[in-house]
Amino acid sequence: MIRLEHLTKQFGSRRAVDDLSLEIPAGRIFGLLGHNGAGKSTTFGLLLGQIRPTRGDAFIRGISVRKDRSRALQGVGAIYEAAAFYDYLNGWDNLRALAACSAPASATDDEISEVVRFVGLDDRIRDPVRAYSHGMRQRLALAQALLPRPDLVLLDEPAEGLDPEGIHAMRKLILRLNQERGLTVLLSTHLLSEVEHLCSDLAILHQGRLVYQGAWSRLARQTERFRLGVDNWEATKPILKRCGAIATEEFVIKLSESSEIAEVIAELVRHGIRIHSVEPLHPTLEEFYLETIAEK
Amino acid sequence: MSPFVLQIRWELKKLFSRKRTHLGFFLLLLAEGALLWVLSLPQSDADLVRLIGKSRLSPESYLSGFTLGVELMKWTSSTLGSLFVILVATDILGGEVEERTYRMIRCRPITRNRVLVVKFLTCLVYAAMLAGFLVLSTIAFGLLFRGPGSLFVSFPSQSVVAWFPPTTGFLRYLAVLPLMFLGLGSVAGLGFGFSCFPMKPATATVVSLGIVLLDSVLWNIPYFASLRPWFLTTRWLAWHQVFADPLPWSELFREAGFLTLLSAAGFLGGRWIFLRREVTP
Repeated sequence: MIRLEHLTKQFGSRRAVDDLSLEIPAGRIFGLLGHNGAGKSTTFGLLLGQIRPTRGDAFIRGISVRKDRSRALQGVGAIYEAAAFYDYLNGWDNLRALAACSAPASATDDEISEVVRFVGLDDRIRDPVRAYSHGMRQRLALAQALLPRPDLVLLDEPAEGLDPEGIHAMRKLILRLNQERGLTVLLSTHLLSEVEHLCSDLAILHQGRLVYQGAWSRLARQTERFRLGVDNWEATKPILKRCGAIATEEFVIKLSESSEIAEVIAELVRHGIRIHSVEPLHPTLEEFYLETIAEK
Repeated sequence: MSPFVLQIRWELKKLFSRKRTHLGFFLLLLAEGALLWVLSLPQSDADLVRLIGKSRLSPESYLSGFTLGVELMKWTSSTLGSLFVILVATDILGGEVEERTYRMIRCRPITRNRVLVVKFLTCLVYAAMLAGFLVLSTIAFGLLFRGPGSLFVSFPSQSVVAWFPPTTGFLRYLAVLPLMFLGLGSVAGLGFGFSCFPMKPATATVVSLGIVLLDSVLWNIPYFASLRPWFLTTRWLAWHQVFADPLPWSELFREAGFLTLLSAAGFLGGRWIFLRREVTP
């Protein structure tokens, strides 16, 4: 669905995005993770053709954003940076005014009503936007991104500034977009829990460079650790090494790509190591993220 | 409805949903009311009577609503008219960039060029409405205050002194509209052009207003009288020539062409800059 090829953006002496190549398949919720200033929003700007690349290109459905932006963005909805609206218009008119900019595709009143219901703004949509709370503005931002009928939505920090209840509601909406409407979602965030709860795949950016890309499940496997309840830890360590397991700290091991925990346990038992317990430790994304960034 | 018309319609809706757009029209009425009061003071009245008398006309017939209307229009069009058009023209694009709504628009498959064209055409529609409002409101005020009658006009700096019977006077009055529109349109082009530069809309407003005011001040200084044909103010006051007798058709067409070119130059210059710059709020 999305392909980035050697995308680079230089602002003066600062390289905001550095040779970024990435493929995002259709039908997934893909997380773009990185701390503030990592290059997430610049990547979104480049994808939406709002920022011109210094080098490289972005492709949506195989269409170059650089060469044919209007065609590439047909069927794309987006929240880019902080959502801003015409405060003097009501929510409904804001949606209509923005949808008019998607011509020749246009949104009918029925479609707008349906989207408004979907984001849960139907009882306040005729109120002036200046009276909206931050959470309502984010819902309105999501509504405008869904007009008219996108198959890809780009959401730049959609939960930014929301309270826990708002974050939960936004998460549910994003999941529904993917599950009920089959939309591909590219989500940028610095909230690790967001990626953990929503994304099937993720990429991590650090100082404009891609430092990790893969499926969340693979990442989970890659980062899983086990706490071993053994009598003699010193005697256990050389056996673990032979099995391809790495002791990361006392009584805690990390498996290599080829090793399995059952095989490791069998080997320990064969060498007469008494095992009282094996406790899987599921690392948080935060731990992985900080580890990855530290490595770079 | 075609997408282009739909976009202009929404642009107009946005423009006229803002209180300050209406405030411009209201302030214009207020200023016209105040000017009317000044013009009705004995001294101003006497000046006008003296001017009419110098042309050996009867002040009773020529001190009419139309005459008063032209006097009102003379003072309000070049000052307030220009001010309000510049305020709109510098804000219509620059304001959206500053308030980040431009980014929301550009998340959609609309081109920068289309955004510029739609916004500039909206400025021109506003300029046309303001020109119409200026012409009609000054007539209305004049007629309310003095009632109908013959028209007497005097623009000494452009060597236009003329008088007309009521019907011809009224038609000449209405004929001001196209040139008034083109004049305000060219001011809009100037303001819009500056708002395309990487500067805040307030700065674009100050720069545009500065140019208009400086040009007007220099134009009024007798020392520069011989250079007047080179001043923009001469073009913006081209509507005065509509009252010349006989009508200087070639001059009117030349001025109309110049004002159209000025407007187009402002837009195209701004467009050239805007299409090349990185738009960040």
